[in-house]
Amino acid sequence: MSAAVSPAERSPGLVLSWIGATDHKRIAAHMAWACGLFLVIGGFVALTMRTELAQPGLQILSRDHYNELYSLHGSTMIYFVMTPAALALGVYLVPLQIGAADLVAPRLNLFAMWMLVGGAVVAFSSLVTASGYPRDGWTEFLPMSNDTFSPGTGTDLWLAGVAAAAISAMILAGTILATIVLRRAPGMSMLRIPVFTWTMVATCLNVLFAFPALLGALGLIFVARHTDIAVNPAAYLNLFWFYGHPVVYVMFFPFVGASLEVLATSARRRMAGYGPFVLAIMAFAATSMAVWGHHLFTTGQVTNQYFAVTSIALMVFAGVEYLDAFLTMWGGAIVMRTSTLFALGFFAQFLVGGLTGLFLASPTLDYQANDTYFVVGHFHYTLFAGSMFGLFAGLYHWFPKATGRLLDERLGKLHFWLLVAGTNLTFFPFFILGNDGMVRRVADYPDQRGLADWNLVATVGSYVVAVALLVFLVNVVWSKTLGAPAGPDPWQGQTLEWFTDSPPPRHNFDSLPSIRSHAPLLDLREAESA
Amino acid sequence: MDAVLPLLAGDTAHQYSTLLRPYALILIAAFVFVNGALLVAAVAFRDRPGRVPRPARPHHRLTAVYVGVLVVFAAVLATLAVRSEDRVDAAAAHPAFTITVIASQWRWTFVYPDGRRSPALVAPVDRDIRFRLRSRDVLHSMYIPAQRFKRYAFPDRWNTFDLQFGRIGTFLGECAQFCGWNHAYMRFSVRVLDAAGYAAWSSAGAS
Amino acid sequence: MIRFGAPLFGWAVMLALLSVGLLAWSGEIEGPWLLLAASSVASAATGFALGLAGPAQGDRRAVPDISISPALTAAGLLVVLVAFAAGRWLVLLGLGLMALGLGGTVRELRAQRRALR
Repeated sequence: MSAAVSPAERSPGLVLSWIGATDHKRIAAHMAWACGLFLVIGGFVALTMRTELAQPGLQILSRDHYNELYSLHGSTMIYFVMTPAALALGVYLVPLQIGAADLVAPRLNLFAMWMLVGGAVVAFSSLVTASGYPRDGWTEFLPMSNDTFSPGTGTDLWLAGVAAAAISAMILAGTILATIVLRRAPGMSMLRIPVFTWTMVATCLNVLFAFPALLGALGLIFVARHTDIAVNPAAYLNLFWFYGHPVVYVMFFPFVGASLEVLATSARRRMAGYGPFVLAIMAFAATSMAVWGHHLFTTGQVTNQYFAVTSIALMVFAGVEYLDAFLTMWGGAIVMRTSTLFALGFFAQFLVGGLTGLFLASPTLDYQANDTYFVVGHFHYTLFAGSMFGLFAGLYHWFPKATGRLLDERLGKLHFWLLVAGTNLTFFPFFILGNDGMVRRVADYPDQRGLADWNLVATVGSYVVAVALLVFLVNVVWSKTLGAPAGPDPWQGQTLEWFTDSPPPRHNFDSLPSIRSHAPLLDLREAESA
Repeated sequence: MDAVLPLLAGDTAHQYSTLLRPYALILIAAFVFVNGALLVAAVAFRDRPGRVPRPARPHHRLTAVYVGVLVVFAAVLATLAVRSEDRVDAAAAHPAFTITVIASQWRWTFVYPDGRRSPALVAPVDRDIRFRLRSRDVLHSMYIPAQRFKRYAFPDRWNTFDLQFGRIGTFLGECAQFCGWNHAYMRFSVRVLDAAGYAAWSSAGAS
Repeated sequence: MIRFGAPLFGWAVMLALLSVGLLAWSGEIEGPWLLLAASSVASAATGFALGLAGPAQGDRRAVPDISISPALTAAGLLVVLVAFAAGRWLVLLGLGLMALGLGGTVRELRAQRRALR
């Protein structure tokens, strides 16, 4: 346990403490607030895009502005919201779940947090340059992103910001993984770490061994912009997507772990199939490193059939996770809290994303669907209808631990049902639009009844989503100060974080129970009632 | 299987709809089965006064069987996908002629065998036509929704593929890869004519 | 010792198998194969290093609760990264900030060592 500075000795100013807190819980909380702010920005941008797209023709945005906005939306959501949010969840929970006092290398983690926040600010600052925010999407393919086709400083600022975010992620992944490997409490073998922590192992591995490719890709853009070297566009595509596919699992694994823990806790029994799950998640993560070519089916530059097979293989590992969710519920006594609803919503809706992903894994079908709204629907189902729901499940589950107060259940259920309605209203039409030939990254589309009608439906849905998120924001702000006190274990939790106070002290634990499985608190309760 | 799915190099629309049927069936069945099971479990095992959760037991056999089922379905889907891709990307034995397509910001240029250039794609129905696609500047993608097909245009290499248009009519062509300011409006028209009509267009000179 | 690196080794083996599969299917050594092969080598190396690291270091640590040095170092590195967009002279400013930040961390590390002696 680290030697804690006793509160009586110093009371640093609020600003100093906000800038310099090395406690992993504080770092995670600051990351959460930052990601929340960036989510609001990215979401507001999406609302603007949807408002423009509600009808054919250009009503409120010019082509250039739309192109800036769609790029801003994607970059913000992936680099500055979902990736850091996934890691922040691990930064907060991993030491608590494994009985450690802090993460390995606290100052390095603090540095990583500032690289993320600063990187986001730098990337956003390109908005005010003469060239504006780069317009080539979060993917910034060459040659579009070189200095001939995207002149000015906007792209260079974006490069700096995204590189900073990538460095931040790699550092956090390294320290989280090192913490899991080196700092487990006595008795906690690798096969006794909680499910969520296993998903963080998978997440960190993907970050460590795929994100360097992003730095390489950003480096290629830099070379193309600032030297005379002609960069091979296909090389950029391969390098970028080598990162670009594993990152979507970085934005998925922690949330499937959170959802499974929520389901087990709500069902009031041990999670079913822990062993198979561990094998499945590791195989899932490893295989996910070898599927990136499916983003390149329509380029004619990769061996399509290999990547089709590896992509389809993923369904086996995902299927095991779904089986475990089912078996955990079967025979349980499931309390339908807000967190449970979000966990169920995660599994139900992610399935749509996963199955449409299988659709896209076939080159023949992808030749039609790639770069259309079908793909946009697919990844919004996995990342928003899926991962974001899983994130909310985790937030409702662990908010009491972090703040000592419960989130309001009625507001929570309102938030859930509004979000289900809004999410499906917005994103299901995308499949129809893509099937009808509407391409992506366009400010406007051909004036045909089918396209206009479904775009309008999607826009209405996006406003419902906004209302749902507003309800959540109100819930958080209200509950943080006025919510019901939670106590250490409001849900009859099964893992170590529920053994300590809410919020936990600086050093996390004053004592630890004996650890004989992946659900030590459940063991304790069962022993006591025996 | 070849009798049902004849090797029609370039008949991409037909290949698409042929693959779609078994594929969609499996995917929709999976959705109904999995979400149905989750719904049943969630409803049947809701917490009720007096309900005690059953202690968890290992389910090795069930898991092994389920994994086996998943592997079988994955193999079926993979086989369907690979076989279909073989057909869709097959090179036609005797393409009728070659059209060169040049994509640039923000228009399409189709160059016909006699050297004529046109912003529109005009083609005879039911013939294998070879395309050689390239870009003059950034990445573009030639997409014909009615053909269920698209392919990237690179500035530093040619992409070659064969298409066969199965229906007479006028169709929409779009650019599917973001290429800058006017990407949304970088469209082209695809006019598919019968043999006589195409011969007339061909000999008429400039379009 | 092997236990620590085990998940990483399994991962590296799977990546190596996948990269060999790509090589066999595509029939050529080139870009895509290199990416997968590089990752599998990197993860094997990391697993080996972690395996060699041995059991956790001593429990007593004295990391300060508040440290502004990481923020300074981050600000410095960000300024260096921005220099390519906003002007090369910024590199000097960024390096200076980084020196301040890293210097602060070195001071803290020394103080920690003294405190634990």
